[in-house]
Amino acid sequence: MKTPRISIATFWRALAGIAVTVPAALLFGASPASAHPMPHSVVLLDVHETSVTAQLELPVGELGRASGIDLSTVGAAELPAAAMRSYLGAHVKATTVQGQAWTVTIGALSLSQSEQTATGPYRELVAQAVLTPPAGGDVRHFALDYDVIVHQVVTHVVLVSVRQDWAAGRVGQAGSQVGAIRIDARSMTVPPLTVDLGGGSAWRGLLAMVRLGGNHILTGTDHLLFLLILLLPAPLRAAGGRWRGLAGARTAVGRIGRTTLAFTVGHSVALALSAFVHLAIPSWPVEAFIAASILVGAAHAIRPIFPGREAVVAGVFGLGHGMAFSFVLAEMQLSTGRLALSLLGFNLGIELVQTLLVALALPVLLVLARLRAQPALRVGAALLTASAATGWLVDRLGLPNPVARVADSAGSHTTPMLVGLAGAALAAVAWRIRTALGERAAPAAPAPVEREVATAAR
Amino acid sequence: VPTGAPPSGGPGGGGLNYGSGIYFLAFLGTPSTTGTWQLHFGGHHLAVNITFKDGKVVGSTPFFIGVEPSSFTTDSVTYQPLSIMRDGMLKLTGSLTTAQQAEAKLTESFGDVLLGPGQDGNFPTTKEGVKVSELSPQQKKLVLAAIHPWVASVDDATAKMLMKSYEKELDQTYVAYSGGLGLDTQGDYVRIDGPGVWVEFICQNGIVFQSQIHFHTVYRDHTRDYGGEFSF
Repeated sequence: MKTPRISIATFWRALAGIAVTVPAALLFGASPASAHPMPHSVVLLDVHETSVTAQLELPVGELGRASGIDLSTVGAAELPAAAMRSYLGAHVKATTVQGQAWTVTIGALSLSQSEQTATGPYRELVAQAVLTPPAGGDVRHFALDYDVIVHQVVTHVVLVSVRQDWAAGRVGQAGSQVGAIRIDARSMTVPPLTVDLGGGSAWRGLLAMVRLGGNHILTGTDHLLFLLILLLPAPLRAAGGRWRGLAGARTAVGRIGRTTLAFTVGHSVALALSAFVHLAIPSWPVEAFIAASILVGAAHAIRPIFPGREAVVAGVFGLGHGMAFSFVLAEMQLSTGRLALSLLGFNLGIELVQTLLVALALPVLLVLARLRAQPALRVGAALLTASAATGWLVDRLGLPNPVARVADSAGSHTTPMLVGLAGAALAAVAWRIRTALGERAAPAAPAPVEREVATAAR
Repeated sequence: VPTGAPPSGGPGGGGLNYGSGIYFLAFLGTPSTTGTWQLHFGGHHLAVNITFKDGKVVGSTPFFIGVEPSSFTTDSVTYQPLSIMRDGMLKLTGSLTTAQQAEAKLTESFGDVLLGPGQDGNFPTTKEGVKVSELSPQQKKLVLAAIHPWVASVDDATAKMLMKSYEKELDQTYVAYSGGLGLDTQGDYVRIDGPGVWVEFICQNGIVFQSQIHFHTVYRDHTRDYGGEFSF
């Protein structure tokens, strides 16, 4: 008996095939033949509280054949926006599970260059659409009745993914595929795609924001570097425009605590303010300010510039870092209720990771200060930090450079970074215990390091 | 012996790259003169599937073949591997009268073959284009001649049997096209769809040679794909 449709397994394998190779991956089981695919359309859904926004990425070649509007050579200014919006409006529809129509508005249109696996470069139209269900309608379950391009170019395929779904905890990660829209060759019709996003909750959104916050500071090397370089001279005493001798462990821990707290207060206040007030600040001055803050911190680690006022500096510069954090939230276009929760979760994530990292750095900083090589290590670390900061500053002022690239890439190696830091912390604690035992065993003879410190302090 | 839905195979190889080192030979089932088994050979722009039953070929499809560039010169010899297929199609469509052309013209556009990978068994329920029964005896011969290069990839005896069957079904066969009739521009497309035969020929934009088009083609059989061993 012939089954009416292709089997599910075959269907999914076909989807996988479309993404990478069109004509052949599957024709034939064991060793798929291949040929280069035509570019497909991409639809990225952002699921909000009462609406769904869709970003459509449409190859202009196929779009021109389907719509009769040729965008292959027009400049951005000559884009026939009204005609294009009316074409898209006629081919992007959504209905509730019960079949009630959603409202669809086509927003911004722009042209860009794209390339998919083995398609070669091509031009695409990027269109924003807002899909709104009838009042009280479910944004998590609906039918996407979409046939842009496919209604005419019947071999065209549309891959639909969810890019952001706060209530399902999907924020700040790669999209997850919902399905593909393509012609049903038997009937030569384009069936609507059933979108089922499952359940969602505020709790999952909050948790995802905690993760995002923690991840943001872990991979955003610049924020961390600012704090650590500011903490580097905390165990030292400033005198006569130089760092000399030890300030005492209690003072050091107090300074580290105050500085970290001040940084937290600074970035939390700025984050909350700019998130709620919707400050439309361009990101580059803020990012440049952050790079400059690191540079100042590095200079201070070499020679005391503002000894005893590290907390104030951390607080003031923290404001800038907070604004940078707010860009992440602003991009998500959350409703006020979700924004408040997100702010809480995001900040919580940042603080958790920051506290963990400072706790790991603390013993290392205390021990480093007592080493004979302390001045060399401190100045070396400060210079390294200063070069990274300079690289970032130049990059953020508009001149990309390898130094910034290398510094940024450090953020993608979080596991070795954490392992290294934890290892150093353990070694530092072990070293302290050993020297403490040694001191007790021979109280008369000062430990070599103590002597060195005493000499330096003289 | 395979029955029911096609089994899932390994990932195979070849992918999107070219090279004689990335064409693969595979067997489905155990080659024998008594059982049912399938021979697959393919790589980029090629998929040959021949199904054997009791020592005889019972299916020589699906057969996908394409080429880029469509013409190339090596050691001052020019090769146009698919020109025999293209020329056959051109002779057929070139013979159509204006009225027949209008009937054969499809409203939809194509960027690739319709029944490529993952589309097993998805033949359109309604055949489109001009019915071969309306064509002259001379034109009917051109339809058979156009199909022949794809059918001829298998052994002569099987090809002869297949051609005979397609000839018998000619009156229920349709010829359709989309785009232009020159088969020299992206989107130019010809299809022959009968009770058995299904052939598609499409001009696609260039990938490696972006300034020229290249060809994708597929030959299927409504009842004999994979020897009719699978249901879809």
